[in-house]
This record gives sequence, structure tokens and C-alpha cells, in this order.
Amino acid sequence: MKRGILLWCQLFLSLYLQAQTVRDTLQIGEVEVFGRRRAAESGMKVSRPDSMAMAAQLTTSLADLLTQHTPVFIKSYGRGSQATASFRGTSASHTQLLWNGMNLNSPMAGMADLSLLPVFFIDEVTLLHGGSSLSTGSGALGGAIHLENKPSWDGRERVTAIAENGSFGAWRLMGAVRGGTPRWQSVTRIYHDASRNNFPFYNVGIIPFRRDTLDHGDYHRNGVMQEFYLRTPGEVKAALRGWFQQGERNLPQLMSYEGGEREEFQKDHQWRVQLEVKKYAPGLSLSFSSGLNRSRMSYFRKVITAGWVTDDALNRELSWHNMLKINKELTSRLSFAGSLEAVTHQVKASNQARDEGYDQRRNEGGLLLHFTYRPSSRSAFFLLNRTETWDGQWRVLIPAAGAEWKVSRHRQAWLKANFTGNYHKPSMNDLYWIPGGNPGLLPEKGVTGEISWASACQGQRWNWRHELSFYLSGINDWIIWQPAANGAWYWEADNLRDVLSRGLEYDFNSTFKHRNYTFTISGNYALTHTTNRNGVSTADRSRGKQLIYIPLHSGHLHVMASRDKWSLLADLGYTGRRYTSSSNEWSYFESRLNPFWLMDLSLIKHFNTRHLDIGVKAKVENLLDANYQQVLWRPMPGRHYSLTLSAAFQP
Amino acid sequence: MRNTWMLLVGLLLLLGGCEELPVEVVYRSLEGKNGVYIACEGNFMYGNGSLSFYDRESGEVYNQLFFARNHAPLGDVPQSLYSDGRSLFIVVNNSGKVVALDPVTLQFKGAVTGLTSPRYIQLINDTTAWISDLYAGGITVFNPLTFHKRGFIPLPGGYPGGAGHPTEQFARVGDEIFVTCWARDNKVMLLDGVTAMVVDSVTVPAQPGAIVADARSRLWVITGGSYARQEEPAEEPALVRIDPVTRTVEQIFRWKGSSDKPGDLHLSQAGDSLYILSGDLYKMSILDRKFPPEPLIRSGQRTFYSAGIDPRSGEIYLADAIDYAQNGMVYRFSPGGLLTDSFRVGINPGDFLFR
Repeated sequence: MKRGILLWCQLFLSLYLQAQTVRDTLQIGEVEVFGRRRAAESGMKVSRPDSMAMAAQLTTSLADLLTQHTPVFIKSYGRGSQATASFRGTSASHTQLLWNGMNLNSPMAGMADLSLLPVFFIDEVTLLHGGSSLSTGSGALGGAIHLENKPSWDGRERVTAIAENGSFGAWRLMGAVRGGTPRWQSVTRIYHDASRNNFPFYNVGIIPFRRDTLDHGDYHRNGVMQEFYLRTPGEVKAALRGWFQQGERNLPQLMSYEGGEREEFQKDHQWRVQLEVKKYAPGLSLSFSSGLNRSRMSYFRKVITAGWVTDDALNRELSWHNMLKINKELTSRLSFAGSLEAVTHQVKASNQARDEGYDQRRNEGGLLLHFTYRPSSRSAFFLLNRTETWDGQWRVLIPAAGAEWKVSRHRQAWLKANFTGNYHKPSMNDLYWIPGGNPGLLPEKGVTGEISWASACQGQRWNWRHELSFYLSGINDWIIWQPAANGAWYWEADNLRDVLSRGLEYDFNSTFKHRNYTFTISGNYALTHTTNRNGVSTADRSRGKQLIYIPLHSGHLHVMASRDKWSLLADLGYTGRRYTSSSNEWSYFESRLNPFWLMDLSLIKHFNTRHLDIGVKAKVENLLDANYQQVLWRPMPGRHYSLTLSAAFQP
Repeated sequence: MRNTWMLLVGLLLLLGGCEELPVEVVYRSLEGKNGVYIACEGNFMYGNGSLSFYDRESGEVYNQLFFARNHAPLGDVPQSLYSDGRSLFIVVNNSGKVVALDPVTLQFKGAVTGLTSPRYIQLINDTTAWISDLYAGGITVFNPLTFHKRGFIPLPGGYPGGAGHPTEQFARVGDEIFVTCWARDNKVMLLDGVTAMVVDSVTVPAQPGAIVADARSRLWVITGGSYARQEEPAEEPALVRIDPVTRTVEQIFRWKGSSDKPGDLHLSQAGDSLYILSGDLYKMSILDRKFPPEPLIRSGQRTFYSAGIDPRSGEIYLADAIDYAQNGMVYRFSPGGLLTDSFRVGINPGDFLFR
């Protein structure tokens, strides 16, 4: 057992070495990564943006972090606008977002807006790809994103402040105070993010073409997070966390819009609080967590000239999550993890201007049984099943099984495979929205198989780690909103599609030293071939075609050169063509969604004293001034700049 | 390591497949061509609306014509088409504008901009045309020669919180203009085409949309119905006949709750029959006392989205939206309902204008 853990530690040693050599605006502790990963992750595809990635994206949103440093595709409507995550060609609702085990997906819409989540509020991000997500919850047909906050028990106090000023009136201000004793810890974080976002662009959406400036793209956000941690000599740990944030953003129009002045904005308020208590004993850990997630989103649209309020929506959601978990080593080779969950959601959605909405409650329960068997230090197997219930419906069997095998006694090379069944409940909008909600909707059902190869090697002055995964996934009864089948004037939700998704994910990182220089190279690539399997008529050309807005190819490369206290970081990203019609027919008219390359360049300098670490970062984004669109006829900014100052004080 | 790379490259080739090639966009002048313009809505908030043309004699179809001629997108949701002979007007609903083109060369001539949510156009005289609007609370008046806005006809009323009646389709009987008031409304407003004043209104079932005036100058209106709300039950769609002289509802044909809902409404070549799109296409004499039990053309697996009746030949054009997310089909039928041709156009073909 010890030998196995040691081997795994070696496998991921490169991550550790990298973190030691790279220092950006903040230092991030990563010691716990090694000891924690193995037990529950045997045979699963799990990845984490490393400390370099976290540091480089510290002042941005989770959407930016995932875009740059993971194979997850982020569909963003632009700076400050909604951004959703798509794993392996699935939809945004097939990605589950969890904060310390508590699901943050909107029960109403079924998805999460990642643009609202600051990386600064997160200590660690873990991605569970495909069926691996079943170990922490159901519904993630594509995968799950786990955000974690963790105490640092080194007993040292630390004060951090960051200020960033960028093009288009962008200001980001962040601060954190971390302190306590070996028995208790307190962490306080605050942030402010605002931008006029009035970047220039060349408008080819109207006649005549003209130089234009984005109107109504401004946004601002503020947030505060407070964490308290307590541990007792009796091996009991407790955590109490609270998170409040609010944001407001104007919503810009498409490039082709030439209509009357509109006032259109969205306001978000989110309150989250959670209590977690863990009890450790030899070979056993027990934990209980309870959390409330409350959100309030208002959307307003008014025609200025007529004074007509066309939308005045207020959506309120309240979810109460409870979970009891147990981890037990049954024998030296067999371990067990189980959990019991109870969740209740209350959604009140209304659009007063349209007289639409609903008021509904949903109760959910879940039971997880997860066994891991390690017959030798080189192999492991897992078998798990979830049983879930919601509103009187039962899903008794949601199974997964997998294995991993170290292929050589002497090389750090592992083969992993797993096979899972999964399902995704319709969102409450899908079921209850008036008009168009469909109470008769079936859950979406998925089956996924994947195989991964991971290896690592190192020399005296270098190390290398990479992982390659292939997956094949089928999803039936995919839910889509489209004009009502009976010809009614509104749209409705229905189980319309069967989708086949297959592809590969590859990521690597490497560090090597040459004289006084340290070079760090990392990257990822995703090939996502996700296609519709059913056509509704003989004229339907969507069968076998790539789903819209999913690029076939995407990838990122990050290169960092460091010497003394200087670092130069280059980020290069590629996004392949995305289609906007289900038949993948496109004309030059839609060439705006052509493949594009984006390159960012950062220069970082650190100044250190005994107690103070000051960092200065100058960054150029979209260095090549690429003209591109993420979403059809939504402009994106050209070359722009930011300057970041950070200070970390440690008495 | 080498094996890993070989495996990676091999699977890349296997899984990647080939990227689709773009559909060629070719500009063709419509000089001497007789056929039908087709407004393809695209998808709401995608800005991918387009214009197609079908030559009824040669059977040729030209797609993406606006872009091919003008190298710019048409906009977001081209709702309807209108031509006064000098210009082809395309009402681009969610771009807040009406685009004017040369009807032959399709060259951009100008646009009426600054609109709220424009829907349809009614020509009043050579220098005056009206634009209905979902959220303006009235009708915009513009000059179809200069494309300049000339005024606004307020229509106070409508549902609480609105700025006025949400106007939709027009029908003309003499100098009187009837306009339906769709979203959460139940009025057909009557305006004097000369004075641009509101003369009267007729109360009809919920959400009147399509309207036509038949050969006997009776008005026919499709009402979309409403869904159940807290304070009011659902109301089923209806076909309503109005006497424009007495301004009273003469007859109401109600749809059943479980049946397909009506959308499009057109007149036959002679104005003596109605074509009603309600899942299938139904044909009904204006003298009938009952709704026809059997359709003229069944949709089968097709998703009929809109219809057009050729005023020259009486031929029927039916648009199939398929899955609402790909280029749609148009089926051409003889007046008796026999399929004679089919062709592919842009996404969500929503309106036909015959030339």
C-alpha cells in the first residue's frame, strides 16, 4: 500500500517540481495534492490545473482558467458575459459544478455560469472527466468540476492584495487575509471586478461596414468569502464557509442590430454557506456536510423609445444540500466509500412583463456505494453504484466499474479504463416553465467507456508527465427546446436527440533547467467528435454531423521561461471551426466562426524581502490581434493589455 | 513513447474525419426571372437569417442572396417580405430594421433603422408605408422611396405594462386598414388609411396573428390562443371571420386542445378559399360552415413551418423547418396538392413573396 502511494507520488512529482520553480503573483500551496488523490480515484480520469495555471489565471474567472488549461470547451458570449462549460461535446447542463461537494448548478436552468466564479476564491480545481464524475454525483454526462477551499495548517499568517488595471476600464481588486493557530484557521477573501468593456471592433454586420465600439458591455462584480476551520486533538475537523457575491452586467446586442435603444441588463446575487464536520479514526473517516445555496437573478429589458418593459424577470432559487460520507478500509486491499445525500430545491421564477414562470419544489436523494480493490501495488479495481430518487421517481442502478494497471515495474506508466452508465434529470425549467415546460420529459441517459494512458519520467534536470484518454459516449433522450411540435407559438422542451460522442484528451507538462533558466512547458489538446445519431425525416441532414458550437479540435500550449525573479510566459490557444447549423452546412457568410489562434504574453517580476513578496505582471492578451468570434456575431476584443501588482505579506 | 505518438496520430486521423466544405455563395441577378423570394429566419439571436429565391420556371434556387450581393449579413430573424415594385423590403425583426433592396439586382438601397421589433409592412400609397411592431406600442410610418421615417401612429391600450397594442399583420379593405394585435392581446384594430387615425376595434379570441381579406371582403383571422395562467384558463386557437362593415365577429372555428395548432393563413388565387397551416395544410372554402376534417396536404414526417400560395398559378409552397437548426426544405405542390418539386433554402423559411 505504501509502495503504491509512493509510486503515485512519483508519477505526479513533476507537478510539484513545477510549482516549486514557478512563482507568479501568488504562491499557492499544493502539498496535499499527492496524498489525497489516490484512494478514491483509482481507474478514473481526474485532472487538475496545476499551480502555475492557477497562479497565471488568479485574477480571472473560472471560465478563463478552464479555457486555457483544460480540454473543457467554454462557450463564452464575450468578456463579462455568460460562459458555460462543455465536457467531451456534451451540453452545458451535462457539466456539474461543485463547491466543496455542494452542487452549484442552477436547479432552474441546470447549468452554471462560470464567468461569475473568481479563481481567487478557489484553492484547487479538480476535473472528473466523463463517468468518473459518478463518484461524486450524477448528472454529469460530460464531467464534473470540483472547486475546493482548504486551510493551511502551517500556522503562519498571510495577507495578500492584488490590483489589476487593464484595457477598456478594467479593474480587478482582490484581497485575502489568512491566519489562525494550529487549532483554528480563518480565511477572508474579497474581490471586485469591473470593466466598461467598450472595446473597439470593425463591424461587418451592417452596411456600410464601420469602426464601432461595443455598447452596453459593461459589468461589475463584488464578492466576499469567509472560511473558518477548526481541528481538535481528537481528529475532528470542522469547516464553516460563507460566500456572497453580486454582479450586474449590461447585455450588448448582435453586430447586425440597428434598432431602437434598449435597456437590457442582468443582476445576480448568490449566497452560499456550508458546514462540514469530519471525524478521522484509523482506517475510517466520517464526514457530514450541510449547505445552503441561494441565488437571485433578475433580467430586465426595456424599449427606451416606447417605454415598454418587455422583460422583467426575477428568478429565485434556494437549495439545501445534506451529505453524509464514510470512507473505510475494509481490509488492507479493499476499501469502501459511501455517501447518503438529501437535497431540496425551491424555485420561484417569474417574468412579470410576460406573465410567465412557475413556483416549484423538488426533493432529491442519493446513495453511493463505492468499492476499491487493490490486489497489488500495480493494480486497482473499482465498482460503484448510485441509487437516486427525485419527486417519487427512482433510479436504482447507476453503475460504474474501472481498473488501473501499472504496466511496468520500473517505469511510471499506467493504463486506466472505466465503463459507466449515467443519467441527467431534466432541469426545473425543462419540466415546469410556463409555457413550454414538459412534465413528461424523460431523464437523459448516457453510457461512457474510456481508456487512459498516463506516464511520467524524470532526469536530474528535467521531468515529463502526460496523459492520453480516449472515450466513447452515447447519450439518449437529449433534451432540446424548439418550437412546439403542435404548432403552438411558444417553444417547448422535449427528448429529441440521441448523440454519440467520441474523441481524445491529451495533456502534458514538463520542466527542465538549462544553466540559470528554468523552462516549463504544458499543454492540452481535445479532439471532440460529437454527432447526432437520429434524423427526424429523410430531408434531415443532421444525422452523423457535429453538434453546433462544439469544435472538433482545440488545444493550448503554455511556455514559461524563468530566471532569478523574472518570468516570461506565453500562452497559445487554438479553437477549431464551430458550426451553427445542425447539418454542418456553412457558407462564407458564417466564416466568422472559422478556426482562430489566440496568443497572450506575460512578463513577471518578483521582489522579495523577508516578509514581503511583491509581484508585477504586465500582460498582453490577443497579442496577434486576431479577429475572431466565439459566438456568431458577438464581437471579441483585439489586442489589449493589463498590469497587475500583487503583494503578499507574511509576518 | 514512440508508440504513444503513433497511436495518437493514428487515432487523430481516424476520429477527426474531414471538415465540411463551405456552401458556395454565388450572386445571380434576378433580371427576367419569375419566381418567389423566401425569407429564412435563421435562429433567434444567431444573426443568421438569409434570403433565397426560387425560379419557378427553371426550378433553380439561389440561397444566401443578400450576402452574396452585399457581403454583409441580412440580420437576426428576417420576419417578412414586401415589395412595392420599386424595392424589396425585408423586415428584420430582431435587428430592429427594415432593409430595402433593388428587387432585381438585390443591391442594398437603404434601411429603416431604429425600430423596436418590426413585423410586417403595409403600403398605404406611393409615398407612405406602415410597419407593425411587437413592442413599439403603435405603427411606424415611413416613406418607401427615401426609407425615412415620417411618423408614428400610437395605439394606446393592450395588456397592462405595455406601451400600447402590439401590432402584427395587416389586411386592407378599401381605404381601411385592419391590423391584428398579437402578444397577450385580443384586438383587431381598424385604422383609416388616409387619416392614419384609429377608427374602431374588434375584440376576438386571444392573440390574433395572421389576417386576410377574402374575395367577398370578409376578414379571416387566426388567433393563437393562450396558455393557462394563475388567473385565467388556457384558451384554444381559433379561426375567426369578421364582417369589416359591421365590424363584428361572424363566426369562430375553435381548435381542440389536443390537436395541432394553426399558424399560417393564406388565400387562394381567386380569394374564395383559405389555406390554413395547422400541422398539415387544410383548404377551406370561404363559404364553408365547418372546418374540413381532412387536410389537403399531410405533413408526414415534415415540420411545416410556413406556406405561400402563388397568386399566378395557385400553386402551393410549403416550408419544412426540419429540426429548426439546419437549412430547410421547400415543397412545391400543384393547386390540387400534388408534389411537383422540392428544394433546399436557408434556416427556418418563414415567408414567401411571389414575383
